[in-house]
Amino acid sequence: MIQEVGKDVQGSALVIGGGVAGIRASLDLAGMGIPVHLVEREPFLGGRMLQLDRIYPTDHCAWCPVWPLMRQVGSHPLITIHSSSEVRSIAGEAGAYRATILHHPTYIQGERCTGCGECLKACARKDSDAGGEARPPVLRPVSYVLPKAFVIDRSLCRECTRCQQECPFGAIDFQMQQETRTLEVGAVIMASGFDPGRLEGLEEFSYGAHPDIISAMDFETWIAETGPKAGQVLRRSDGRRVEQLAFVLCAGSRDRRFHEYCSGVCCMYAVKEALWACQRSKDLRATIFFTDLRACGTGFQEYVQVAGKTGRIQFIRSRPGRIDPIKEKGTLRILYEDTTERNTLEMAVDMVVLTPPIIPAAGMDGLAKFLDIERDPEGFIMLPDDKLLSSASSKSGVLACGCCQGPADAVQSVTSASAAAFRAAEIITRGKVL
Amino acid sequence: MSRPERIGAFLCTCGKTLAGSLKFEDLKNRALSLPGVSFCHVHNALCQESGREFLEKEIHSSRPDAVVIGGCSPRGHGAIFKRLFMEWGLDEEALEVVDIREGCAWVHADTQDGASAKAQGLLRMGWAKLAAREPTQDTTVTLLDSALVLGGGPAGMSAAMGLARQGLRVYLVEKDATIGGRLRSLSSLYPSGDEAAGILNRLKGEVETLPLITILLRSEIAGVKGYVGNFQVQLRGGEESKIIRAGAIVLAMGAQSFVPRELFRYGELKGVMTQDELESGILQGEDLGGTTVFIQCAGSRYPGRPYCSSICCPVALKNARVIRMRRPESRVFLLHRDVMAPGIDLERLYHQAMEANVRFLRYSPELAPSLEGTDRVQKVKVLDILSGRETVLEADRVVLSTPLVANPGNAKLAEMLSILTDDYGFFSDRSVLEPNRMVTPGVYACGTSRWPCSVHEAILQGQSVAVSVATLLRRKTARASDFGPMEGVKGWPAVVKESACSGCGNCSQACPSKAIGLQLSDGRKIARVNKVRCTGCGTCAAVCSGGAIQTQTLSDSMATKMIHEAFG
Repeated sequence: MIQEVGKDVQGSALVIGGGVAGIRASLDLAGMGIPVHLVEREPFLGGRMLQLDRIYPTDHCAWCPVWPLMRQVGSHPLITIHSSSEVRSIAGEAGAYRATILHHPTYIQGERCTGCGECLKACARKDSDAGGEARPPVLRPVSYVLPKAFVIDRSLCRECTRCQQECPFGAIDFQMQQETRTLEVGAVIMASGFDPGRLEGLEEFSYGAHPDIISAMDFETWIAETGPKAGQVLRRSDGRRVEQLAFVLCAGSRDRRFHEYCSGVCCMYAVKEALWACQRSKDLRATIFFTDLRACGTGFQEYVQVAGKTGRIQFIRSRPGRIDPIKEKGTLRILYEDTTERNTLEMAVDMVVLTPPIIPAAGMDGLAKFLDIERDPEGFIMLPDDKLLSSASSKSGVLACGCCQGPADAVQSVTSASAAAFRAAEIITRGKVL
Repeated sequence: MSRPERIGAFLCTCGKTLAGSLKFEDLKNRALSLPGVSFCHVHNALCQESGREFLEKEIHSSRPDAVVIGGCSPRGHGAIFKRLFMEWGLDEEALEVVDIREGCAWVHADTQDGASAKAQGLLRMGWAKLAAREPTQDTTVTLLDSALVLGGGPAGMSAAMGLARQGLRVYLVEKDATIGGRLRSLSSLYPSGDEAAGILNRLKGEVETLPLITILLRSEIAGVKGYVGNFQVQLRGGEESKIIRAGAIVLAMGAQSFVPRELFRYGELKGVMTQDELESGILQGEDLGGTTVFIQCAGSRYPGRPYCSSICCPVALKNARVIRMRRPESRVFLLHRDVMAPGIDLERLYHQAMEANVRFLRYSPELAPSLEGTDRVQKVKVLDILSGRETVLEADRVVLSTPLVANPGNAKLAEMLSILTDDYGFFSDRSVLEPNRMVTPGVYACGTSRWPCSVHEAILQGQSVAVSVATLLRRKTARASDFGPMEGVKGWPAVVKESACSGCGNCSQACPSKAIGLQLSDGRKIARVNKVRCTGCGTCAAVCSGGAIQTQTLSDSMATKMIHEAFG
């Protein structure tokens, strides 16, 4: 089915990515009176921030600041959300782009779903264990998240259709087809975010060889109060309490073999995760292996000091040379040189958290092909400084914000998002007063 | 109109999924027995199209003046129901959505009696809240289409430019005799390496030619009155003191460089200079041959000033490289603690400095570098903690990377505008995802008045503020209740029962928004609420001994009645 959306609206904008940057950019564009199509690949908006437990340096809940924005996006008459959707092509020029969006079927009609959860109760695979973490084919949106409707992941579904029989509202439709939507927009804002880079290449860290050598994103979920172990800090291998925890920073960043750049946020979230692990497990001690401890934002140095003052978190300036599982003890051994003490040491720990590099989100390559955008060798979008000041005369109507330009924290992401919205608005209105 | 007389009740079984946990017939009968409840309907899906049609039909035929809905959590469809009720001509606050699903039937699925009793209690509380409510009081305000930007540096110029391009009148207030701020004294910018003069000229050129921008030089804020959409700002200095009327205020006054008196023998030895002084040396084409030693964290990251000023490492990397490129025979050492170069561009700058043969030595704050010399600096002694060796560097000049510190005037401005600063005097945001908004509606901050940042970042923040201000002011009018504690949350203004007010002023002192003043009325003092400034937070109600000041969404009588219903 081909559906024309927004053809009657002149001068709307396309925002690619529904994380905090994309949400902020959409709200700002809509606030200036410009209709927005917000496209998100995943079934629900919120992006990476909703995968976090807490935020540094305030230790506030990561979700709470998102809700007011989410609520506004959901109720704003000028914002159309295309979730479970991918951009398939974009052609045109500033002021006149035509984008094709492929909307994947969710098999549940959004306007009928009340979130009652009967489908999940009926699902034959509700307790299924697909790939380590239990994940049934029926996805429940977290309270407040948009869209509010459940989604069925057909790749995990056995099509027993029990859910269809049990749904009190007839919302489940297995005949739902994918839809191609064509959008006419004046400007495009890229807010496609980041992915954690692969750690498999770092052979010296034995990632993948032992379940207690874990990436930081997984660790954040693993110890979250809302996570699988309800906030306990346990080993993945045997469920034993973690007593000695190590963080190895710059795993794949600032490394000529992988990514030369600094991933910008790992120092701070490692300190945060160490602090939270200590708070949640009173016998736990943590060691943070760092290169430079890059703590330069508001309250960041103080946060690092708070960690030091616990007396349970130590900082060692070093990049470990090897991490090995010790079979007989079931623990892990870290070999490292303490660069300020200049000696080679080893440490036995229960769990190692590696901070992966921040790389452009999957799909960026495809998007970059349609759009004539300059990228750096690592694949991040580059925005020349002169474009920052350019007015409506700018040729390209493609702008970027958030982590698709390079590693950024939430504050930097939303600031760049608002600024991108400003410039997109100028392109769309061609300098005319809004 | 006074308190509601015809209260309608709707109960939703959520497609009968709640019917197993809750006794709907009992709930309905109990609801009908409550005073003022004129009808109660049980429906199986109020949120579906059929349910909405049903609601609309019933509301138009029965014309209730308040409605309680028992169904899923208000987070689910609460906002939609409120919008529909407003469309149908009802007061949005006259709708109470009571959660009998997530927080009741679901969590007490094992006990039908218990769940039903709780649902009954919750519904009675919802009814009590409605029965005790007074009609909401609100007011409409006109929003001026003008903004005052304080500070003519990169952030302020960028904000002014952005605002003017969106059709708003801008008053750009600058304390100096010319605009440009820090950009005027910088040689080049990191990370691009662009000349500062180029960016300065583009920004300044546009700001000076845009007809909607009025530049007021040699001027400062003396006082502020009013509220969002209608500020009256008293200026001092300039040709004459004048009052500017503006819908929004943007703070972009920048920050100051810390002067390292008594640190590293600054002011005592010739050749010891700050990064700012080096910048002007580079700008004036001074001879920078010989050996230059940069010392980072001069006056920051120690107990008295624990923060990292974040721009000093990149600035030093940039300048160290500039010296090496300009004078290939020169020697440049950079004595640092952590090299703060997060991200792609700054790490690249770090690499470029290394490739330009800038030598890096890591020092420990306990063993800080020391300077030798009698009149001029001659040597710098430093313990390189990575090699463990003490190194003595012959030095022709020593450059101290000092932090940015907040303007001393920030505290007074913060007081004047009821906004917050951090421990060091930088302006603090309201939420991490609205970093440029201050707690007082209509007041924004950008650039280094918030936190040390690069010129690039300051320009981005200026544009970002322009968007926020334009979004606010293009509406032209607003309701007082639009300005709540956070974006998208209603802030119904507090109301004063004059007969009960003793004029003690507790509320006025406690109000974080400076929304309450004392006014004479019939010879006695009475609390008066500025409806726009008030965000409905309720602090005043908490400190009022006589119960004279109340929030509209939960007054004492509403709360008391609800508690009575819950436990009575």
